[in-house]
Amino acid sequence: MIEMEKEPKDSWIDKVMESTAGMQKAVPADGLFHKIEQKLSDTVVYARTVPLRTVSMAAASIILLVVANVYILGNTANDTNVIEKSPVESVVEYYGLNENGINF
Amino acid sequence: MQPEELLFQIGKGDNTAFKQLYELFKVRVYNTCLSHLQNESDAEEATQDVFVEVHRSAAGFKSNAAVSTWIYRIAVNKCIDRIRHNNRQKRFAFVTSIFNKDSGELMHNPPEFNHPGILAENKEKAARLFKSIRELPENQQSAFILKQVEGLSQKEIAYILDMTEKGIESLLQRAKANLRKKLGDIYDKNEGF
Repeated sequence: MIEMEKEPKDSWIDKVMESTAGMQKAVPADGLFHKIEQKLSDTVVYARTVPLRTVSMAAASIILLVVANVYILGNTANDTNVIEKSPVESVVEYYGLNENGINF
Repeated sequence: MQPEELLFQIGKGDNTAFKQLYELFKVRVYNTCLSHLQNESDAEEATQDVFVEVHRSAAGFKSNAAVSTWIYRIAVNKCIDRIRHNNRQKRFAFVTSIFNKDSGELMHNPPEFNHPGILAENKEKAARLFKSIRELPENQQSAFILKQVEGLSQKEIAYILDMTEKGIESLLQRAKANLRKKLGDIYDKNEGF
C-alpha cells in the first residue's frame, strides 16, 4: 500500500496564503442598480415623511404638557384656600395636647 | 468624465452621472463587500447601502483623497456594520438555541465560502483562507482583504482605515502572523494535507 506523502506545513500554509492570487473579480447581478435606485427613492420619501411625523408628535406632546400644567396649576390654586397647619400644630392637635388653649 | 466631476454632478441631482459612477466602481465595491461578508446576498445588500451613501454624500465630498479610496472607505464601514449586525444575530440565535431546543437549526457555523472568482485548483485552499480571515479582528480583516485581495497600496489602506501607513504596515504583519497561526492549527488538527 502506497502512503501519500504529506505536504510540509510551511509549504501548505504558503499555498493557502497565496490562494487568492490570479482570482477573477466577481460581478454583481444586473438588477443591482435598479435596486439601488429603488432604495434611493424609498429613502427620499422616508426623509420627507419622517420629520413631518416627528413634528406632529412633538406638537402633540407640547400641547399635552401645556394642558397638564394648566390643570395642575388650577388645582393648586384651589388648594391654597385651605389654611395649612404647621407641623407643631398638627402634632399638638393629633395628641390632644392643647387643652389649655395656647396658640402656636 | 472624471470621478470627481461625476460626484459633483450627482450632488446636483444628475442620475446619469450616478449610473456612470456605479458602472465605474460596482465591481470594486461588490468584491470588497464579498470578501468581507463572504456571502453573495449580504454583499449585494451592502453594495446597495454603499451606493445609497455615495449618492447621499456626493455633494459633501472633499477632494483630499481619491474618489476610489473614499468609496472604499464607505464600503469597508458598511461591511463592518453588517458584520457586527450579523454577529449580534448569531449570538442571539445561540442564546435562543440554549433555551429553546426546538427553535430550528443553529446557524452558528456559517457555511464554507467559495469566492466565485477563485481559480478551480485553489478553491479548497481559498475557502480555508477566507474562513481564517473571518476569525481575525475587524481591522486586520479589512487591511488584509484590501491589500491581498483588492491589491491596494498601504497609503490607500491608511486613508480607508483612518490610520498611518506605519500603523497599516504593522497591522498587516499582525494579520499575516495570525493567519499563519490559525492555518497552522488547522494543519495540525488535520494531521497534514
